[in-house]
Amino acid sequence: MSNASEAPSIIALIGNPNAGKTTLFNALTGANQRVGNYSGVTVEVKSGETFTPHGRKLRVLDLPGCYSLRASSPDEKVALDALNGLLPGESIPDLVVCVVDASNLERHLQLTLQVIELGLPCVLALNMVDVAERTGLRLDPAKLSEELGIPVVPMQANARRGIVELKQALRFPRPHASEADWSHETSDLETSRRAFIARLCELAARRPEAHQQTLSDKIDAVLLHPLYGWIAMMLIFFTVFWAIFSFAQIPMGWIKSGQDALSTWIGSILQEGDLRSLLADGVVTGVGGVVTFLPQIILLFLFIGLLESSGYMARAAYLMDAVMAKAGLSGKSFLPLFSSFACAIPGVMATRTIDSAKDRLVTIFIAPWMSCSARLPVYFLIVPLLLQSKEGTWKQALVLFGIYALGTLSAFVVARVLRGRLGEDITPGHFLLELPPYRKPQWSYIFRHVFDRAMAFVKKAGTVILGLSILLWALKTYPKTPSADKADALANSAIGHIGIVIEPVVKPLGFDGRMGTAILTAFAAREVFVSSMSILYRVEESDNEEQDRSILRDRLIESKWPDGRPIFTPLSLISLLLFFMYAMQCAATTAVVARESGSWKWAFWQFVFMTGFAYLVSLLVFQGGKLLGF
Amino acid sequence: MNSDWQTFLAAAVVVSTLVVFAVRLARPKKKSGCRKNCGCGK
Repeated sequence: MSNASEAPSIIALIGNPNAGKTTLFNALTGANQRVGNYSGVTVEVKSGETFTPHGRKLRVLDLPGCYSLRASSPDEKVALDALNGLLPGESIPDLVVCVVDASNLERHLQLTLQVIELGLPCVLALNMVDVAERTGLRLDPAKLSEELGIPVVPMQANARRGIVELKQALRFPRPHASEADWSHETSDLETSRRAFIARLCELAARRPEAHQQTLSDKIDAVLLHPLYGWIAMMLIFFTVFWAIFSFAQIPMGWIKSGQDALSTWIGSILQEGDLRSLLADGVVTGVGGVVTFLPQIILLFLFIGLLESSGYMARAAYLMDAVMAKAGLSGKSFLPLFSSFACAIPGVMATRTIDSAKDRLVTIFIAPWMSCSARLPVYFLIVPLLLQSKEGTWKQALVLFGIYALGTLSAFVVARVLRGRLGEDITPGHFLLELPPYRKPQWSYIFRHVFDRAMAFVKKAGTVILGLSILLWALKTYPKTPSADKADALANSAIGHIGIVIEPVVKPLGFDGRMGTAILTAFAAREVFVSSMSILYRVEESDNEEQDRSILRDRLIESKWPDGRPIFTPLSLISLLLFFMYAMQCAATTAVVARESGSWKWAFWQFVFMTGFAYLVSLLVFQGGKLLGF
Repeated sequence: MNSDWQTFLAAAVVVSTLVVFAVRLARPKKKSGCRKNCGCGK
């Protein structure tokens, strides 16, 4: 143990997920820690400082939320190591504050008993007493304290009620470690604990004789109804999707305007040259193109925060559990995958709400197969060409729907196979899904949550994506050519040469060297394909994107192989569509996957698998189609 | 700023970026708290 006369005493906060542990930590330390339980992510121990009423400094450790101390998950292992003083640079805590949800004592006290069994001095923070009282629970903190042999402090951490009383309990002289009397009752410790808790709750946390229907029960009667529940969920998620997909366009437009203004300003202060091109075409376009997604990320996390904080997310996960189980995933994978239709980046980041690390990795793996908005310009170029019609017909809408459906179906099949290969979870996962009572959203928590995610994204855009943008600019620029023609410059650049080199590789898919070059440039971001094709097919850019695409389509129809055959046949266009559906062509998503999975290896294999799969499917369709005479 | 200076500075930025990436790739990785394949971010 730490020496109380020299170093500040160590107080460890431990509790089940959703017990209000991080809210209490923030209330004690004034720190800006994020509230929420993301198993496999928040496995680090956060620390802060607080003071006793007598001004004595205390160091507070916020341990990951966990259900037990069996060390069967990363969360539990870190928590147990912290309590045993096994974390690097940390000693055994002087006092453990067990944070429990007073309305759910039967489950939460299990962990408290395990901490007492370790022989550590404890204080029980009986949090959310307001919720417990509203359900009609009659709490007797004095009786609880007497039976457990530890101080019990009733509190409501989100309203800062009981904080002073808790600080009183943290001062000297500290409580002694209690005896775990229940541990001798039967040979099975789990059974002994359950029997002790049942007895304890009968004495000190009595539920009313008749079940009182709470407001949460009444809301759940609608929101968990087999029919109305689904309708409500579809409406809620449609609103989220609509907001991400369309409402975010307004601030996205502002960012795009800012990006254009910055490029113009760079053009005005620097004369024509490499540095100007690097800054305007490489850095501003590359980083700006990714920062454009910031409004979508902010909106998505605002909604996630709102849904989680209010308690609805657990209901949605419950409703979707059976559907997602067909893909080997849990209901919590639904929202990240759904958001990926707008953009895979916020979708991948949203997987933090998934408790199971394996479910989370699989969801991250398949998220880029949900057809994101960046693919739309490519589809808008190819689909009318395929159907030989103008943009906006119902046939095109049908093809687009088919593309979305096929991408989703393929993703679910891959998820099922991959999830099976990863094996069963050792953590309880969705089998222990709690339905917390509905609460008023904690806006401070939501805004902190949104701010954290936005900052993480901006940091990524400012480092890895900045670097990748510079390197891609170099590949498109060097070696330099004396010609002022952009198409010649791109064709003679490193990426143009790679395009020629890989022509034998892409030819079996029905693509020529120019398409190969455009596909290579699209590995930075899919939408770049259209602008690269415009450059390579010498289409002058105007303010009217639809008109530009129409001119480009005319050029593509006219393009021929050296033997006079048209390059763009229905078969090669289907092959191209399939390639764009399946290939991993987004450097920003790869960078975010590496960060969220904690492994560049995972991001690399995702890239190899998706791109390899895209190649194989395109190859099979094109060659198979040719054999069948198409 | 004339064209020659711009060429030199742009090339310097590209080379610096390459060096930074190479150093980051070569740097030994820090072990995360949960050691292996748990899917935790750092």
